[in-house]
Amino acid sequence: MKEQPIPERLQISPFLVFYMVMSIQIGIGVLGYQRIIAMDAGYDAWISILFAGGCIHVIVWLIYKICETAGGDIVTAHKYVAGNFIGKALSAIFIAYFILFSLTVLRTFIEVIQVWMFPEISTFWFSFAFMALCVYIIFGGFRTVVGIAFFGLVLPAYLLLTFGWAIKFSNFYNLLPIWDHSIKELLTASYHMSLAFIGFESIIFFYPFIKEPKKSQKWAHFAVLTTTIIYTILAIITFAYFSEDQLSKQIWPSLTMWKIVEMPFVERFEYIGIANWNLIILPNVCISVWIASRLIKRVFNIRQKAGVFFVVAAVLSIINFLDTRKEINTLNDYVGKMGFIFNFIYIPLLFAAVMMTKKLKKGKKK
Amino acid sequence: MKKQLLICLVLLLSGCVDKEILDEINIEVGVGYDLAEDSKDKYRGTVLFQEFQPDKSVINRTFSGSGKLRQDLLLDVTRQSSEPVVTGGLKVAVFGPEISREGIYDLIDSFQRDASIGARVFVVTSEDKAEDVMKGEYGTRGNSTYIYNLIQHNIDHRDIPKTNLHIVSRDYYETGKDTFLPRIKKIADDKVEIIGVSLFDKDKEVEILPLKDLFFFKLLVDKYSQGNFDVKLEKGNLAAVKSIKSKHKIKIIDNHASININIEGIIREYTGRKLTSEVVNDVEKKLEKKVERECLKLLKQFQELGIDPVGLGQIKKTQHRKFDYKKWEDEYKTLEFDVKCNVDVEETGIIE
Amino acid sequence: MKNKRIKEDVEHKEWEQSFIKSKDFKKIFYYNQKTNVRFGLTFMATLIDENIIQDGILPNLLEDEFSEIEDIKQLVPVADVQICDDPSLIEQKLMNGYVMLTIETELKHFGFIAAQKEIVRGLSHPEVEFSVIGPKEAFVESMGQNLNLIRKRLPVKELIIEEFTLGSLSKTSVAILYMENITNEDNVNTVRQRLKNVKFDAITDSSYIVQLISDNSNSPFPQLLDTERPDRVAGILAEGKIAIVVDGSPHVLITPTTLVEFFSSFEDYFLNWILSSFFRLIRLFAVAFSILITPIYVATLSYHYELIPKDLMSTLITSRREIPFPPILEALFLELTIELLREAGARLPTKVGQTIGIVGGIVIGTASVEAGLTSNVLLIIVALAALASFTTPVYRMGNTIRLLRFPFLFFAELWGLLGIVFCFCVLLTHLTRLTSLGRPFLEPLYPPRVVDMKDALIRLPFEKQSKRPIFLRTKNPIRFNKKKAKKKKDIDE
Repeated sequence: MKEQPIPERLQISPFLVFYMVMSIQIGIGVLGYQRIIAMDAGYDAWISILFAGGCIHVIVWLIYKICETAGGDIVTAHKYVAGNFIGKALSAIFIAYFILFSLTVLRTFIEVIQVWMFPEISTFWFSFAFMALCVYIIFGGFRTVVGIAFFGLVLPAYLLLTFGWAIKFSNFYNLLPIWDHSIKELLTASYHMSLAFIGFESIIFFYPFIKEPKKSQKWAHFAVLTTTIIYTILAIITFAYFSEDQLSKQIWPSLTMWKIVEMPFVERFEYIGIANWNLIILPNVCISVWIASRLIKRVFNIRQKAGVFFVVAAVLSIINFLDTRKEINTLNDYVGKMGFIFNFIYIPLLFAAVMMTKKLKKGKKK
Repeated sequence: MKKQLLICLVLLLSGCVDKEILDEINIEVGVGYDLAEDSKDKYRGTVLFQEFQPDKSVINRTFSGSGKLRQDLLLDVTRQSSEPVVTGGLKVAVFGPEISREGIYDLIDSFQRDASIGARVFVVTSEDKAEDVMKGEYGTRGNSTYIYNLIQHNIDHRDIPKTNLHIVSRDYYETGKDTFLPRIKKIADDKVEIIGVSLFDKDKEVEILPLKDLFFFKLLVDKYSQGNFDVKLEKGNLAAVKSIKSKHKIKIIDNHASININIEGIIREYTGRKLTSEVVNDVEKKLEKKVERECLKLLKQFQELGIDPVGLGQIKKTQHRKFDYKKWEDEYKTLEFDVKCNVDVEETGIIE
Repeated sequence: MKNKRIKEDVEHKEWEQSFIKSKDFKKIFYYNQKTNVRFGLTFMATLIDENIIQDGILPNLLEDEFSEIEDIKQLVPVADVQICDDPSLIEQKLMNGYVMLTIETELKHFGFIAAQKEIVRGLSHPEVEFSVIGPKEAFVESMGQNLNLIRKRLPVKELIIEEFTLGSLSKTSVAILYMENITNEDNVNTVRQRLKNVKFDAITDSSYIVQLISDNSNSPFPQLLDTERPDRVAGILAEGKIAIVVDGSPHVLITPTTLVEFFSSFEDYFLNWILSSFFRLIRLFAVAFSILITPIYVATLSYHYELIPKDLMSTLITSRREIPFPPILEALFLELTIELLREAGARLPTKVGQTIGIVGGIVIGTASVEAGLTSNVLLIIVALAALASFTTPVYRMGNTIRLLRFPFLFFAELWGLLGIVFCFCVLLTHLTRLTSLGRPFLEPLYPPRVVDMKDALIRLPFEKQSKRPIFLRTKNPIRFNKKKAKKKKDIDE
């Protein structure tokens, strides 16, 4: 059975993959990854970020190889390897993964709002409005989703500059001496970076929507590189700004750093920053909901619109049960772990399987 | 379309959050803490609000309360205030003399935990009770603005090292560094002045550095961008060195700390006849000597007190892998210092 | 007997039944002086120019010899003379200002002589899109005149003018204009198709067409640009866009268009590129300011007192201390007052309108501040926002911007700054989804096309504009050969 190719007018230019990958990577993890990695590897943890970034390049390469060989997204690859039924069953797991992903992002963002801005904002109604907006975006088609990813990255980019204020109060000697931690500690820190880094695997799901996918590979790598650099610079500034014990007490160091920003017309920047973060979170949730609904369409052969409503309903019903910091933290941990397993264990396995199948099929033909 | 309308309506009805309308709240702009007279309560806090008059003049209004926690104080104050009390506008926190000796950690921690409090709050200690400091009438723009600007411009142009809530708590949590806070005194009902710097061991005040040592203290812990210092020369002549820029470099090898201080400045005023290059050289020499002597004295003093506001421990940590803080605490007691200073006078004003 | 039959034939046709009821329906019979042939002239007196009949048609028909209807082509000194035998055309021709000539010898044939009364407003200055520099001609209500103004500026055979008649009652002529060798054929086809699909009885202005053929009619954003400047139309035709001229409307429509185009005035092209880029940025800033400033005021004062710098605090608090309403009501009250003034100013005659605007603004503003209904800070903000909204060069977009403020106000009241950003996200999504003639409306911002940025937020010099916009997918994307156009000189050469 040959799958229908995506018509060209619905496809996106290769360079837009850059924005897609970056905007789903940068989301909720950025707010607090510094503390988590510093717990493992102290102020050497920025090395771990670079290392994790390097690993991701390998994974991105594997993803492209898988997609090229199987000639489509992950559902095609599963079918290619394991046949129709088992393949679909495997793909169905990822529906849950992406529902959880969007749930985590949204709930953590609402928690930030509740702690920093409006303690009494209703979780459900805010999520409801947010999800309604997501439905509106996704109904505009993949191109609109990519558009939001683009704006969600480009418009808030100025926020990076605001961390410059922290430099005035920073002490870069904090980072010395370099390499004061063991390799094992550094690797653990790299592992804990996964929540901040995951998201790039979405390529394997929207691969058929890329015009000339081969050309897009360099953009995907470039996106991962840029994210790594941004994370590293931000981590270095954070480490210089806080002392180590102080950082270990900050749940959201990036937000705390905004407290020092002072402009002639704005006394306290963090409120503007958090409000702006809404725009950064939006593509995260949208892309994952889009992927989940797309998978539902591919696996169960129902209309994607129905899939979207199903995913939204799932998110809205689960989100009410997550109330405390601890629960949200656990959820974050789990999603981080799942992302790690998926990216660094499952994808190499799938790659091996795809390669083997390819050889077998070639052998058969001969 | 109907669906969208419905969504809007539902949001309107149930999505609302509590408002804090600017003119219907009391914004805490300053706070002073003392130890409570009643031993049951721990703190006595005085909260400063601003009331703006139609002609834009400011009335300072203070409320006092006591309690075991900072939140208790706020509750106490809320009972007296006509409008809800919010803390997001805090600019200045003053600690009274007893409380700074008792320990200020709990309050600093509470400030840090409160998301609405900014990082640029100035934390200072006071010679008299914090309540009295809060209750003065300084300047026309309100007490908090007055004290805030007083400290800010002394940091920018004079001898107070850079400080704010963030730096205080960073130093507090840093291994191998101790905190210091500027110290103020109420000298009249409409005046406060800076009288020195309080030095802390962990969160307890142990020593007060007088005004005359502040220049050297700032050379050691911070860098100058616009300092002033008068140099006494022979024959009773004076030379005012202005626009001082300074940098220090500290190196710790084995058990010996060598401190290099570089100073650049301009001579603005000279009481003698002629400002020859010999005189300039003399000024440089004199200043170098003075800085070396005084800084060494300060360092020795810190060592005796067992405190480390310069952050020598932190510096050692950055220069040596596998730093052991326990061992350092012993080492510090026997640490030797040498201070080298180099002064460059670059300009002598527009006349020779 | 014979005569009578003919008379009845000529006089009592079925199609005349409803015509006779109108007082301007005229039917007059004459005899040719030479051949004594009886002929009749039928016309609508309100539509024709009587001078043409008096001086051009009648003398010739009466005095010169003719016996067949074919002869009149030589006799009548009017270019547009048609002869046909299809009675169904009669109504249309009469209604278009033709004089119908019937001869008793040839009852099957009719001659139509054009004698339209051209009541044309003289060319005047553009009023909505006034520019200090540049041409001062504006379109008028006559399609012929308008086409003339455009054709004059693009005297090439590739400029195609296609005509349609739309509206079951109004029978409005609508023309689409495009450059055959440049414009993308798909775009032209889409416009043709959409125009053909228009189902409406009376199309009295181009605004009807805007609403009837735009991609998303539920959007507050105009998706076709309308202009009254012939120079602008000529300019965009050369870029490869399509113009729609509607008879009876002094506004010509341009499609496909993008959001940024609505914020560029055609005067930008008359100024040096540095100046015009600067003005464009100012205008964009003004629009953002106009939409966001009042919501930000409401959000900050209702929720985020922490944001206010301590030096500004006293100004804001003192200005608000006597106000009994929450910021949102205060803002709504002022915004609605401004809208009211604007609306009143637009409906009244120019001079009265201006007076109302100024007097009303000053008097109501001052009075409401003194009465303690609104704060003077907000008054300044709202007035500035209103002023900023007038910088939009396209009136239609200006209206949209006036409207956009209100949802933002609603969300600012709901969730403060977070609400403003949320509303901005909704707006962004709406704009991203919007298309104009199937082409993305936000281009070149999204999809990001760096090449098209040369004439979007800023305008680069003409030497750099060697290519037509990509999103139009033109047949010939090159405007001029860049290499030939510009040779770089070395110093002192």
